[in-house]
Amino acid sequence: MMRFALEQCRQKGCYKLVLSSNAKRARAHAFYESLGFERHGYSFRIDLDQVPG
Amino acid sequence: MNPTTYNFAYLDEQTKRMIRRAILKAIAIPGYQVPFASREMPMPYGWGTGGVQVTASILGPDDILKVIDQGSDDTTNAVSIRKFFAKTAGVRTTTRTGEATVIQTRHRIPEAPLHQGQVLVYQVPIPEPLRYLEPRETETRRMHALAEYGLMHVKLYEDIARHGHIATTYAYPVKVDGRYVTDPSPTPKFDNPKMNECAALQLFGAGREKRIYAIPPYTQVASLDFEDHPFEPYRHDAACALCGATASFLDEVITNDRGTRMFLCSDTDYCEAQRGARRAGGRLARTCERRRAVTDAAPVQIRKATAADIPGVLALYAQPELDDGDVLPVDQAVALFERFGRYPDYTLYVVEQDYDIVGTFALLVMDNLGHLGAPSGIVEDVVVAPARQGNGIGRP
Repeated sequence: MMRFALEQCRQKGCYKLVLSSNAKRARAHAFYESLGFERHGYSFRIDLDQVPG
Repeated sequence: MNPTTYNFAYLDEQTKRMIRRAILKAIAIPGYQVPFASREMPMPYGWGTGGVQVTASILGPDDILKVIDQGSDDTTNAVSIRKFFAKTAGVRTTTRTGEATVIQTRHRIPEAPLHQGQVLVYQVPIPEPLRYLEPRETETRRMHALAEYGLMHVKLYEDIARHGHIATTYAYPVKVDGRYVTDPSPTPKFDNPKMNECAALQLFGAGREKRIYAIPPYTQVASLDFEDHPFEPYRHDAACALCGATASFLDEVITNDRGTRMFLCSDTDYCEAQRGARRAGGRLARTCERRRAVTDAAPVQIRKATAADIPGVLALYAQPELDDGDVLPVDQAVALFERFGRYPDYTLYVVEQDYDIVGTFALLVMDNLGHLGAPSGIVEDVVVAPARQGNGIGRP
């Protein structure tokens, strides 16, 4: 699945493939790292349904 | 059962002869409503007394009977009538469309094409297509005699004037053999095209209204329309949640108080056959795989998702790690999925193994002005079925 996604992106000339994963999901992180994904920077988020406009 | 005290298929022979004469006349004049002396039956009007009398008159000991109600073999009306004939005629009954010689139906035509030698018996509540436009029987008869159907066209035209299209979705009037305007009983207009050049004999019985009409095999049946507003067969923008069929007539089923709904094939036999074919296909693939002795696991295949896959994809999303196990209703999900198609490059993929959807992800290729215009790939909603996690489905 993920190799297929990588191949698709390569063919389309993408310079990177990104995804975000919850900090708690250690198994998912191990899986992505085993495929060559690296932890890169921080992903910032703000939950819009909890912050007053 | 003692044959001397009980009539085969309930009706007495004289009544059957009278009904058969009406049927023969109806076949000779396709689409014409033939009056007949409808009998009291051991069921109330509206439960298919017309259809039952026609079936009783044509049934022979070698026939195999199927009865459907709104496409289903399992509803009260269908089960009662099937049992009635199993008891009074001792005929074999079946739920398989292809196997039956006589099919009595309420409000549907089976999805599987009918073949020569089969008879489809419709239960008809109101046989007169002009009745709601002209209440007097003498007048409607005169209109039929003169083939004066302007009133029906005005009715369809008024639909267009009011709604912009012909809004009649069931009991959509047809012209049989270029002559009589006929009511296809309240079947959905989805079924109208199946009546045209149908290989089976179609008989219509209206018990309360005392009318029988017929469409012989291979007769032209045209749905009324206009040159600039041609007949459009009804289509659902959904797939059956059980078998994935997109080409069948679907029932909408509300599944909870929040209005969550799902779509299911109305033809239960067709739905079962589709599911059987998928299972058989899965078995075949597995057998081939074993013969090649490459690996124990069936191969996984990654392909673009279609609307038919949405129920399967939602089932994968329904694991607690993702959105606490909550998922969108199927129709909303399908509507959003169709929006994917309007993005330049946004695709939902599914991974199939053994004809089951075992994994899914969405891939967006986003254009950039930076990085010399090289796009970015973004993966979202990566899910593998819990039972198959750790089997390497996510890797290929």
